[in-house]
Amino acid sequence: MARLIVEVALKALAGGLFVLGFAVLAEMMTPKRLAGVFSAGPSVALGSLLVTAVLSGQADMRAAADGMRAGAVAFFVYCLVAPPLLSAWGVWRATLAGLVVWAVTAAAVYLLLPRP
Amino acid sequence: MDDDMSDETNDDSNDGTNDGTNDDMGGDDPGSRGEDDDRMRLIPRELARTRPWDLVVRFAFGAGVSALAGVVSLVAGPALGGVFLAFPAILLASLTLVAQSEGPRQAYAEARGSVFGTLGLAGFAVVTTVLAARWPVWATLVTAAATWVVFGLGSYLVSRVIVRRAGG
Repeated sequence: MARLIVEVALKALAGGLFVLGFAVLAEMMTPKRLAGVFSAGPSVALGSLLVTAVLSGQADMRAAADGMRAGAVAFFVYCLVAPPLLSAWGVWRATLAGLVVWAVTAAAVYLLLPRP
Repeated sequence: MDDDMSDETNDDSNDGTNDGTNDDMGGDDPGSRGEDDDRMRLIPRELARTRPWDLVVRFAFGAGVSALAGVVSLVAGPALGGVFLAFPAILLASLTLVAQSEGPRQAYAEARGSVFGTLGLAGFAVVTTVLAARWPVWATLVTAAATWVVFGLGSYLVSRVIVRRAGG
């Protein structure tokens, strides 16, 4: 049990640090649309996959990346619907509605994508 | 990047009003004072204007999503946990912070830009899936990160060229 907690904590720390790195880059970038590219960077993935590979092995890392394909497709759809929702509803309602879109799309794509 | 990446301020990109309204979001029209009319720059001193709290929030979101992915991996397997490696929480945090500090127009521009990043993210996942069984971890992740740069920043640069040509 302690090992599992340490694994989750290490993933959280690594993911947070990579996110911080990408956020710092984004803050220094202009125009803002270029900064947006870094908001969809592989920050969480890099930190989490690195810890997964070290603690659980490359097979688990490969499986995680396989599932990530579905999340990435859903993220793409989220980014397509977010701007018009932002214009119509404002930031909070648009981002929350976008998360619902992400969850539905991710579930559908996860079930449909062929497993390698 | 074929544009100037010099260390200079960009007054045009930082004057978004912070009045909480949703107007003035048409910054991508070629004929208006659009985001794509601005040169791309890396401005280190912009970081000094960032509130430390904003960085703390982003770290917390990143750590939270990573922990969520880790817990789901333990409970339901690494493949399902992997879905959350592309969870848009970081963008969510960024959009709300940018909207508060720089106005809705800048948040809108950032949301539009993130589309290109997700193309890179999909490439990152596919490359990692293909290479993880064959290559060492470091080589796999470096190649996947390079794929994100090529697809994410590459598609952004291509879109700039297309918008400029369409705008004459």
